Amino acid sequence: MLVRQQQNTADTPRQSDRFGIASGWLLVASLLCMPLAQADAEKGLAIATEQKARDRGWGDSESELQMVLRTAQGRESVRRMRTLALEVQGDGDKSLTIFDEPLDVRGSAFLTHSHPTAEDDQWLYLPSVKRTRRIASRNKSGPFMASEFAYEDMTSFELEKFSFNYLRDEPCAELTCYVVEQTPTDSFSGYSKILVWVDQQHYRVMRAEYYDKKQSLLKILELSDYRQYLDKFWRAHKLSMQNQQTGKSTDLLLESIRFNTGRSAADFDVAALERAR
Amino acid sequence: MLGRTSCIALLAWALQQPAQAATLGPVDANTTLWRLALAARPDEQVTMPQVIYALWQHNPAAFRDQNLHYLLKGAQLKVPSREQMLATPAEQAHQWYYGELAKQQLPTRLAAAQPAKSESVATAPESEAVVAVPQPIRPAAQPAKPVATTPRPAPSPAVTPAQAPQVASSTSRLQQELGFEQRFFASRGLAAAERSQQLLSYRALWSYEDASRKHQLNLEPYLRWHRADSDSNLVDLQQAYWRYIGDGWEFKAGIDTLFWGVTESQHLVDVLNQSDLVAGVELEAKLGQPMLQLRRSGTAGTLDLFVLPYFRERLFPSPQGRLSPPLPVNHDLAWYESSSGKHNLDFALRYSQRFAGLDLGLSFFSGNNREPVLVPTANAGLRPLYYQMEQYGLDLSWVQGDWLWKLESIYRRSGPFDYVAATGGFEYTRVGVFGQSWDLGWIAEYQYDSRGKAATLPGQNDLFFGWRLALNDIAGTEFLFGVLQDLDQRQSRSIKLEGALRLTDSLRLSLNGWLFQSNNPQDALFWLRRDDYLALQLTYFF
Repeated sequence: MLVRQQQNTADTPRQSDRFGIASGWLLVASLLCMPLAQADAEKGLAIATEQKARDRGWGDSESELQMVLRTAQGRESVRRMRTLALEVQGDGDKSLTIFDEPLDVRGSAFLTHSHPTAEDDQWLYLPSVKRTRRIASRNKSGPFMASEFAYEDMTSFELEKFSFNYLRDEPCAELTCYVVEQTPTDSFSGYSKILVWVDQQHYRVMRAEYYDKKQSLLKILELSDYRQYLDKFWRAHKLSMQNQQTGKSTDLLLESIRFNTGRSAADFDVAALERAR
Repeated sequence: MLGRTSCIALLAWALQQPAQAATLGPVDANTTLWRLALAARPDEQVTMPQVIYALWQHNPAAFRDQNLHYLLKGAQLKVPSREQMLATPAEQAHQWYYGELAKQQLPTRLAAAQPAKSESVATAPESEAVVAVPQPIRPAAQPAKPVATTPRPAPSPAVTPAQAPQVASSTSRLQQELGFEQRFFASRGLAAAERSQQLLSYRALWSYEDASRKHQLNLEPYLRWHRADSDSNLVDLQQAYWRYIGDGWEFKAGIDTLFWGVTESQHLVDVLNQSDLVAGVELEAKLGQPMLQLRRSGTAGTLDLFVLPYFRERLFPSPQGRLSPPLPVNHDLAWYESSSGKHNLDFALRYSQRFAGLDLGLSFFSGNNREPVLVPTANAGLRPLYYQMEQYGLDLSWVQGDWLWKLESIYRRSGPFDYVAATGGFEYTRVGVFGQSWDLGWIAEYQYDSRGKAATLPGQNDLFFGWRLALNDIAGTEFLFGVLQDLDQRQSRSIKLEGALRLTDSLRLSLNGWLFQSNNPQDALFWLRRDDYLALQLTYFF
């Protein structure tokens, strides 16, 4: 498997042979290390659990986002939206995204009730026809607003969505990170695995590498400009997603975020979708 | 070793015990009330405002003048028990907390209420935002004797105010669009009309929400001008209403445009608004409807009650404006079954509820039928007859993986008609087709009408097939192609093509085309059989 993948991506047959042999050895080495896997899974889960625990209790938030889409040639286009989010105890979070730009989709509102194990419930309100449509959401691998972010990248992080495996410690910028492998439990995910760099001090995700179903590196996400809110919660203000296969990229910029805005579940009801402005 | 039951009993007992009187502090320059509350919060069942309220209530000595925003340096705070925190309902605590925060934003009022103290000049943030202040709840009788008797510590310099989340201010938004549409018809049609037709339209949407987010105003004027047909011109208010959003209920007064239903090929249950025929034969565009709406929503679902005091007549293009009935409709001759005519008090009700993947809607309507019966007059015109109507409607959508199942059904009693109609089918969406990031949806719907060939709409025993393709590209390109085939009359069908893409961030190009085929004069499609067309529309958003 590993060997074939290397051959596919290599430029010349000669190179591929070399890589093939090298990765073959890698495979043997990793097989020898198998007994360690159990402990690593435990540690991986422990890190993810702590990561989740540290982000518990934020209640609700309201943020303004800008997305800059870049083609491989460097042509940019900008998307703007506002997102209201509600933390739900014992279930996935709820979020309501209202689009502001491009202007032809202005006022469209996208509501998600995410669930850790079941499929998310999603609805889209289109102001031009004043109509709310339910969206079939099993396949979350599609692009969000034509960006390099997939729908599944935008949903709340839930432990049930992955199995975890701690790989190693690694320096990341001036910090030290845990490198954890996340394997999606949902077979409809567009990824075979995600490698995540989590900083050891605050358990913030600093970097993620997404691998497609063919095990090739698909996208790299880098998170920066972390700021702390309510004395506890860290939020990255810049998320850069680079598609390694197409050369396209998307910057997701968090322009502002406010917490405890007084939103309640009623604001995230389908019936309330048409009043989102 | 303890048995399982005794373990549980022990645990239950332990949980019931008031927490040990833990303390927090002493307060220093880095302390904020929020941070203290985070530390004091026993679990997530207790909301942050509940914790803060309890801390404030049980530690009057820790705040200067009982002002939530001024923790005193060096103060030690007693942590109230979980029960004490929960004693104030979350809703009340929330209201109180945000009321206090809002008060802090009104420096003038604060200053007036406070005796001047040399060192205590608050660094209340300058803010001009005038915020509706919910009446703060007065703390119930001061509890906890020991606290009350504790001598207050000597006034010490105030510490940074509690980290205050920003309080929302009112918002208003304005969006406008200008559209130009060019329609090309395949022939001059039955009325020998122009093959090329142009329409201009303007739409604005202004919306306002006050700071409390309880009052909303919406205004949406829509204007349309047709170069060759004055009957197709329109000045309309699609929305012009005030809405009050209460706790679990909502009230709306004014003009609004609402959509009910789930299916794609036909909209049966959707009867509140009058259809705008000029905008498209799909009958998806509408005229604004004056209404009073009361909504009650909760875990048991959402119930809407509508009172509709004024009726909008259906407007038809003249034969020169194409896509019209064969003769001009004479609105002056409009007949109403109701003696109140347009002022008949129509009434409607809709209940909707969600069960996991299932969305259910039940509706009832009683009043003027939106769809007139057209009868020929002596002088080559058509007279619209508006009968009274009673309609019971059901709409269902059920999501199952990539499948979305839909059903709409009505029972309608109106004038000469007493019938059942239904549209049902599915939409199946595949993501990432043709090795691209494209979405392809397959739509199939069956249309039924118990009146059979006497039906006033095309869909009496018809099958609709459609494909929806979204390219998920930066231009937002999408297409819809559909065929509606009559199963009783093989020569009767309509075919539609829709497409749209973004040219710039504020310019969208859309395409809309129809083919109508029918050889039976009884068929509703028969009169459109010479009106095949393709329309290109450019819309500028600003």
